[in-house]
Amino acid sequence: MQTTLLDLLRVDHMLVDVPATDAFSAIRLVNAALVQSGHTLEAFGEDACARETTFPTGLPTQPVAVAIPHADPPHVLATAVAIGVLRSPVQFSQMGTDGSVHLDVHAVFLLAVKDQAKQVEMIQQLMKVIQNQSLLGAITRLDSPGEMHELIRKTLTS
Amino acid sequence: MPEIQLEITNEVGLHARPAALFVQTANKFKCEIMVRNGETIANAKSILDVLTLGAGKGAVITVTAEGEDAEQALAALQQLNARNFEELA
Repeated sequence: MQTTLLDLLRVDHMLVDVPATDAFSAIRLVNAALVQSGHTLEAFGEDACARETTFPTGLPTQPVAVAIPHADPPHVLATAVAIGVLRSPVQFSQMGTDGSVHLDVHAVFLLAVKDQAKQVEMIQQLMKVIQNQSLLGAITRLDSPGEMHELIRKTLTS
Repeated sequence: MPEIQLEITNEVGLHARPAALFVQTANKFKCEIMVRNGETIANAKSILDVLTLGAGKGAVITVTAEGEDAEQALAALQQLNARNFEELA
């Protein structure tokens, strides 16, 4: 059966007011939600941090920049997406550059994909969410994971 | 306008890392470069665009370039694909 982003949305994988101080702490704090639910191991967060260093994942979306950190599957137990809105933006380098372009990232979409063949599809679906300007504008003003879950679900089903 | 077709042969398709390399390579050239996968058309220099292509393994993408270094740009992108985007496949 095809796994869609919609199927993967879970309230306990949505975080607001994440107190990250830099890109790495943002990745680790968001990964903690996936560790808690048994979807990834802590090592996945370290893998994603290492990947971020060599292949940055900041994206110049509007009205706020986001990042889509991810890593290879060895420390993924089950496919999941965790979304963390940061208390204050932190710098990520922009994907597709040599790392010299920095973005103030407001939200992190951490992708943990067990079957790598699905990664292209998952990213394509995720792009639908993060290129929706009204959604991204609203997401940074939400007060609860429940509101975020509902807003993203509505966007994906509209 | 010069045009090439590339069959994506690496196992995972044009996912995040290959897409980043594709955009980084395209940005080394002055010409305008567009990529098409089926009905989806992307600016090869925009990571946001290229990530929407959804080009999995076996997809055949069409790359067109227009400008003074168009031929060199297409050759560089062809080589990148031929090397499976530096991944083991």
